[in-house]
Amino acid sequence: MPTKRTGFLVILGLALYFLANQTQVGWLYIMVDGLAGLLLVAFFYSRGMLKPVRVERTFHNLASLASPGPDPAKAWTAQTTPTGPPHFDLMPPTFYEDDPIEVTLRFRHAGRRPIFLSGGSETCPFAPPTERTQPFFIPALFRGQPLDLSYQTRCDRRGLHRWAALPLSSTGPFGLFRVKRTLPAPGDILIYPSYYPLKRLRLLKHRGFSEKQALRHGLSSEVLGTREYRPGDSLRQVHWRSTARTGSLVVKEFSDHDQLTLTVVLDLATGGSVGHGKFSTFETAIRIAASLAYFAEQTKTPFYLVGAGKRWKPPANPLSWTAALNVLAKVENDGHEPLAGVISRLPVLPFVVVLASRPDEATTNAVTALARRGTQTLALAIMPEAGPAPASPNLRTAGLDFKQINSHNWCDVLAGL
Amino acid sequence: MLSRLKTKFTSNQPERSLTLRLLVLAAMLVPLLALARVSLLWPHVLAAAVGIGLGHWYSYRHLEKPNQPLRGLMFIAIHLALCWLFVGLVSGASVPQAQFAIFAQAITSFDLRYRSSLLNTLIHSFAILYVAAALSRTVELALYLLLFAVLVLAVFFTAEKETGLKRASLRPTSTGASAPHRSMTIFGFNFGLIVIPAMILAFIFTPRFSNNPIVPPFTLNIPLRGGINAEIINPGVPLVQINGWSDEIGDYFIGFDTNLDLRYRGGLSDAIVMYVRSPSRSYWRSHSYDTYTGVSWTQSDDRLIDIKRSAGVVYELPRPPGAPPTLARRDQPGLEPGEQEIVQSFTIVREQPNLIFAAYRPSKIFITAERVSLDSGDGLRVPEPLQPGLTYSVISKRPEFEPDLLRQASTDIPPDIARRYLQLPANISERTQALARNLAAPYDNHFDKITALTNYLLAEYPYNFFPPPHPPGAEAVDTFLFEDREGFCEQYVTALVVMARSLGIPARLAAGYGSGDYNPVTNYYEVRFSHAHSWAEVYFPEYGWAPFDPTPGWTPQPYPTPVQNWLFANNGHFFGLDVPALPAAALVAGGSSVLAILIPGVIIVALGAGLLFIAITLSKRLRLILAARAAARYTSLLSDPERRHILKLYRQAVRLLTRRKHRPRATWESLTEYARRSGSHPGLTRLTHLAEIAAYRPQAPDAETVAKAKTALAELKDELAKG
Repeated sequence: MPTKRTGFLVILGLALYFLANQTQVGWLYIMVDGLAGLLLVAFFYSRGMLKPVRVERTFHNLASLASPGPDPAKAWTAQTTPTGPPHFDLMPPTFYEDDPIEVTLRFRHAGRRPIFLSGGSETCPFAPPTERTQPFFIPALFRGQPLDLSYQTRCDRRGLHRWAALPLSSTGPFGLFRVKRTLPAPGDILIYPSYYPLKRLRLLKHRGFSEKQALRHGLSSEVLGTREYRPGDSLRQVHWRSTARTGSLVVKEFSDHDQLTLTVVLDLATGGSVGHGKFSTFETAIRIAASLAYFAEQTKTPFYLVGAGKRWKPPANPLSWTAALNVLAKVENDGHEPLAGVISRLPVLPFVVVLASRPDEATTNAVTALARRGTQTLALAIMPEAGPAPASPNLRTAGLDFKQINSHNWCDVLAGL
Repeated sequence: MLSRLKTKFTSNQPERSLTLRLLVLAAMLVPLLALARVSLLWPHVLAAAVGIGLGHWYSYRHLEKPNQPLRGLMFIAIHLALCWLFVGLVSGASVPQAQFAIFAQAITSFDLRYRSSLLNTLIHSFAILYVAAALSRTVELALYLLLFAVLVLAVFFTAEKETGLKRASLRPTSTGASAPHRSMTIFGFNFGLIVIPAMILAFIFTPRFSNNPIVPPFTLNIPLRGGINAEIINPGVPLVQINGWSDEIGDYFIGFDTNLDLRYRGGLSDAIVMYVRSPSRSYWRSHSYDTYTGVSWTQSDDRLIDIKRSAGVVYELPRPPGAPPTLARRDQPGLEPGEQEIVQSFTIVREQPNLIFAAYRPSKIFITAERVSLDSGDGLRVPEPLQPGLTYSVISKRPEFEPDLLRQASTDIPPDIARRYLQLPANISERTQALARNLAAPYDNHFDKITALTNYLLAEYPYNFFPPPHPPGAEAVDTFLFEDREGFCEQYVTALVVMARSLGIPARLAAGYGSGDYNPVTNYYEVRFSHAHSWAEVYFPEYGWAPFDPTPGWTPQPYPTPVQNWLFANNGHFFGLDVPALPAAALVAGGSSVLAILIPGVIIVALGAGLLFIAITLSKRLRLILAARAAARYTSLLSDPERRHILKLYRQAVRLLTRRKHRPRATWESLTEYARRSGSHPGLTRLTHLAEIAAYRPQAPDAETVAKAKTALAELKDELAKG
């Protein structure tokens, strides 16, 4: 597509041509034809110029490369990822919310014509809104000489993010014709929610949690049977006799009756969240759930996640740490069922944490009923970051463990539980 | 659209790229150099170049704010340059328009703050290059054109690059190439290799609508003064003429004289005498002779007829010379069937006789002469010899001599024509007349007879600039035809004319220049002394005088070729090819019609664009004036000490907040917005209110307000101290 400059040159050429015809000055014809030749060549030069361009996108987790700092979350992240540049073929990188990340775009040109004055905009789907669009410019790109463009940003939002195709345009070589192309640059990245590395839950310790925990791991527990080893199983659960007999690792399965489990109830109803973006009550609930999953992992407690989403249904089996992170990275509050309904369907469980953004009367009743059925229940009312807090009944009066929490103090509150 | 334009102007930032500025400077100097080469205005150009250099330096050093006094000086300087232009036009200075252009560029180069200004000045440079192109007659200009094109493209590239890098947040730390300069050079070379053939292709196929000028030709020169002169004044005539043998080469052509002496011998040099711009190849005819004495040619009638000046420097002939009388009687001044208008311009390089050279048949002459007259041989005269530097234009009406029509032409010769152009001296030999009769015997019409004679001469007689001297008393034609059997053009033509007259066909000897060497690049015919030539003109009652050239080595059709609008059609010989002409006539007619339809629209659009440009410029100026007034009003407000005091206290407060880890006030924030966003500080809120009173209220604040501001600042300090 011709640029304004081309339009100007065409007008100039026509004016010169008119004058050339009027005056018969030969050099004017030469100038006109020089302009025509230039425009012709520039036009054909620009056609298909961007076709041989390829782009690859790579990304590094800068937190994993940095030395462990005072932030325990970052420290943990650093330990769980390989040091040095990650090798994605073998092990996908692990990203958590708020991790700094370096994205590199590598442009390769396989064509014979050099590409000049190309640019576009890279849209990073998980970056903070102000850093989401990154305009870039490449003055020249030659064959066989790849060129890197890097930028650093922050993993602002959890989720499975997909990079859009990269729009590329060029006005090369002299700004006369603009050509555009959308470069396919596929890439997915799964960003886990940030979490607080909760290592103890005093609230439960006082309620005999430790005893139940001992039963969970002791020989006195009722063994239901054996199964094949799965990654994440404790070595203490290995049934050595069966392992020796079969030649492959076999672990014992315990009955649920006397096991202490940790169940987190998420409000996945569409209207269950207050606020938008990263600091909505739903996102805070996700982070709290991830922290509790971490606690369960540390204490080898079966961890269940319960909620009624549109696209996600809670699994019947306990979730491993990785599975919990995967679920929590992707789950959205797109359901229709109110939280009260989800709670009311719960059986009697050892320990349930209810994360409610809008604990209305029905929710309060459901939580109270759950507690009365013998389930130890912790209700966390997640308050919005700003604005008036939604009117909610005081759950503490119902004799429950109840805490108010928001997107800023949730780490402190969890540490105090 | 206006809002977009406004945004564009208001967002114009000073251009800080030194590379871009240097490239523009270099690009500006190239057209100046080209102009200096072709116009020899070296002192002017050197002065302008120094001015441009200083202007660029000044513009770069004073990017931040416009210097209004300097702009005023520029305004005055531009008008002085305009005065210089008018003085030059009146006094006949050398290319005063070009002088104005270069001085104007030097003046405006002191205000090149923005990129738009830099690019606009390149348009100015292009205009100077245009002037140089119009004046240039050599291929040297190609070098300057090429250099200018390369620099302008480099400017385009750099400008795009700078803009792209400025807007982008992601930039490569290097160019991406291992050897960027080498890669760029290779690219530039390859690109040029492709552009040049494309340009040549476009050049060959560009149609030239040259015979339909909308703007009439004009000429600007000191007028040739003097009265009518019956003599042909030839400045090249030697002091001593030797009638006889010679091997000398000079600048004197015997045909440009009152008396053409066939006994004279001498070659002609290859020095260029004039440049002719014409859409058609033609002989440039000057005059003719009617009386043959046996050894020379003269004009029997030395009366001259003054041609009426129709307007300014335009002389319009009552009828085209050489045309039949019927053509003069027509009422409508349009073209006859088969006729074409040919606009030629002649630039004299070396002094020439007082003859006007033109393609056959001239109808209008544009020349700064006090008089132009027509002689009895259909030649055009001016009072004085043509001086170097003189440029004149001629519009000719090209006749079409169809052989079939000429064959059917009447043989009833008017008595006055017969009396003058059937004249023969008594000493014409019988064998000459017998040869003519023998050659013409098979034919029954004048055209075929003349053609037979011409072909005979062309085939049987080799050309020789230096034939042996004639014996005393010998008749020139008999000696040429039967003794020497070789000779130069005047001898061929004399033989043809004498033989034609002996057959009863009116004929005469015409003189002038051959078409010259065509340069397709400059579009000039380069006419040299050695192109001086003679040919015959034969009378056909219904068609007038038709030229025939019996001299070998010259084109057999001495009158203008049809106007060709394709380079290769008209100049196939340039490429050594015999390229057939394209049927361009229809295209020309169509193109001319389209052009004629488009031109008014183009003019209207250009006028509209000009008006829009003026409106934008004025609005920009108005905006600057309003901004200056606002600034002046603000300055006058600040002249009050109470106002200044309160605003000073406010600035102290902001500094205090900044030291206490508050952010400073952003440029886009109002005072109130800043106070609200800086947290709950009642002291700041009160101080902000007072500062707004000081800044915006027309009445000056009193001492009490100042005291309140002091108190508010003290409160703020206390609040900050308490944390």
